[in-house]
This record gives sequence, C-alpha cells and structure tokens, in this order.
Amino acid sequence: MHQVVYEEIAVKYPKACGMAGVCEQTIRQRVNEDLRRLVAVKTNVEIGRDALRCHKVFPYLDDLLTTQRGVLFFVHLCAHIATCFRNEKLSFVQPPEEQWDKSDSNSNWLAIITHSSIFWEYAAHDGFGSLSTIAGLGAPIKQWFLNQLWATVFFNLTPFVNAIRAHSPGVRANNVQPYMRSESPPNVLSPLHLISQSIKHDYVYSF
Amino acid sequence: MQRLNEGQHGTPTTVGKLLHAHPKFIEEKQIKHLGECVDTSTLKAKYKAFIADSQRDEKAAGKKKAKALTEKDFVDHVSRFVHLAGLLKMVPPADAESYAEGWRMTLRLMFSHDSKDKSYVHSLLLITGLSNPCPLVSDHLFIAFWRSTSQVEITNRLRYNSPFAFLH
Repeated sequence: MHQVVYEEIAVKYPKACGMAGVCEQTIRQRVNEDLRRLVAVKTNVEIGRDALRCHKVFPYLDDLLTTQRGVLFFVHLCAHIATCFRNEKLSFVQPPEEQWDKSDSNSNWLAIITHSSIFWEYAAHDGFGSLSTIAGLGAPIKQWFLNQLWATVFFNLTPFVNAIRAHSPGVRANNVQPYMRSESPPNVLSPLHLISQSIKHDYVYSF
Repeated sequence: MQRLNEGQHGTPTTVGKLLHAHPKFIEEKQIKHLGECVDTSTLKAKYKAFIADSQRDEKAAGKKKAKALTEKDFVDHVSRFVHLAGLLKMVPPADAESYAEGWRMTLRLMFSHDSKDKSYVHSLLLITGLSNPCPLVSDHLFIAFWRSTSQVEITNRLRYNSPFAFLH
C-alpha cells in the first residue's frame, strides 16, 4: 500500500518525492523494482526482469497484482470521499453536544474517520483484492460509480456518520490526530496519513 | 390510538406492540450497510443511460466504438457497485471498541518507543503481528517501521526472522 501511494504521489509531484526530472515511466519502474525486491525478500525467489517486461508487476503471484489494483482503487475511493466531504461543507452533521462550527475541520474529521472505517472493513474482513473487480472497469465508469456512491452516502448521511464514528471512539472534529507526533501517537488509524508522513520524513516518529 | 399496519408490523395488541418495539426486531429492520440502500433496478437504468451517453459522445468525437455492454455486463457492474457500497456500514460494528484499543496499543508501543534497541520494537511487532486479527494493519505498520530502520538491519532481520509472515 505504501509503495502504491508513493507511486501515485511521485508521478504527480516528482520533485517533492526525490524524483525531480524523472519521467513517469521510470518512476513506475522503480516502484516495481521495489515491489520485486519486496517479494524476493519475502519468498527467497528472485524474479527475472523479463517477467516485468510482459506484466505490470509479478504475474505468477496472483494476489499481488490484484491487491495492487485494489489498493489503488481504495486510495481513489478515499480521496473521492474526502473531496466530497470538503466540497459539501458538512457542518450540519456535527453532534449537538459539540461546540464546533468550523466546517472545514468538520469535513476533514469526517473524511479521516470514513477512511479509517473503510480501511478497517478491508483489513479485518475482505482484503483489498475484493476491490479489484470494480477497479478493473474503465476510468469514466469508475468515476460514475464513485459519484453514485457519494450520492447514496449523502442521502443516508446521519446513520452513516453515526456508524463510522464508532470505529474511532472519542475522536471528534476538534481533537482528531491522524499523524504521529513526538509527544503523542495518532488517535485515529488513518493509513494514508501515516504513509504520507512516512514518505515525507525518513523517521515516522520524529515528526 | 395509533394502529399499526397488520401483517407488516404485527398486531395492535399490547403483545404485538411490545414485540414491535423489541430491540431484536428494531435491529432486524435497521439498514446494516450502504449496499442495502441501493435500488439496483434504478441504478441499472441510470447506468445504461450513462453508457449510452458516453458512447454517443465518443462517436461524435470520432473515437473508435467500444465494445457494447450486454445485459449480463450491466448486471455484473451494478453488483460490483453494490458490493463496494456494502463495505460502508450503517451500524456500529460490535468489535469496534476492541479493534480501536488494539491498534492504539500497537501504535503507542511501536512509535513512542525511542530506544535505539530496534530488536525490542521488532519483537513487539512480531507479537502484535501474530496476535493482531488485522494483518494489513501490521503490514502497514511494518512498512512504516521499515522506513525508520536501515536497509541492512531490516534485510538481516527478514532473513532470520521473516516478519513478512504478516503480509499473509
């Protein structure tokens, strides 16, 4: 997941990711090389470079390609939901007991706990491979389905928000902390935030 | 007295009303995930219209005509969407508290440990990884941990202890 996210970010912001002047194809090749080494370390099987010419990553490790595609779609799904929450300025879903009126922060909180909740579903139950079926559709179709998903979420917002809040008990808009800080660990498990921190800093816990 | 719809909601008797308000049956009525909120026939009709529009646009732009989707394809794509929506839960999970406590403990132990003795962190990772019901969390944490450790150290560790068992 870390490398898939890195690949996406590095393609868009090569300079920030230490890949200044490197073309997109080379970035993807380097990520694939990392994944090749990862599998080689894990399985003690060296994968020939010829295999990489014909296939995206490692064709005979069935799960890996499927997972890579699923993870990528998961990242897009989370980004889409975060964008939608931000665009809608959902200040009205704040619980009445909370004195919090900054809609930007509220949207940010909802996006983070939604991400955490979806990640939990995949991590604990299905695995990212289950997303590969929808991830295999064309880009415009995926976008259309994501829009439909948001429409369904928006229509059922209150029960949805109540359910996702249960994954991160005690986390509110004014105390949400997805990053690792030297003085405190995160109070919500948001892998994308930890990954972005990991990409930005050599030492995650020295932030 | 407000009468309940017979058949659908039981009888308007005291017993019937008590049963109607019983947590067991309230829970049954509750929508469990977002997939249940999707009207598949409406969605399929909208999806067909969307595909037809896309194909018309592509034709107008002079692009090569894509393969037409069959009825089976439409059903298949909509079912994939329903599966996706089904992963967004509408009821709080029963094990949410223990899950949250589990990963918080893991993070606290892994990241607040500032000792140079990485073998301690590694042992911790093994323990949490093996006992954690959520292998992908361990996977992620391991990768984050990897970035905080030198390549030589981690390669040696992988060779002899194989924490990549977490990836399964």
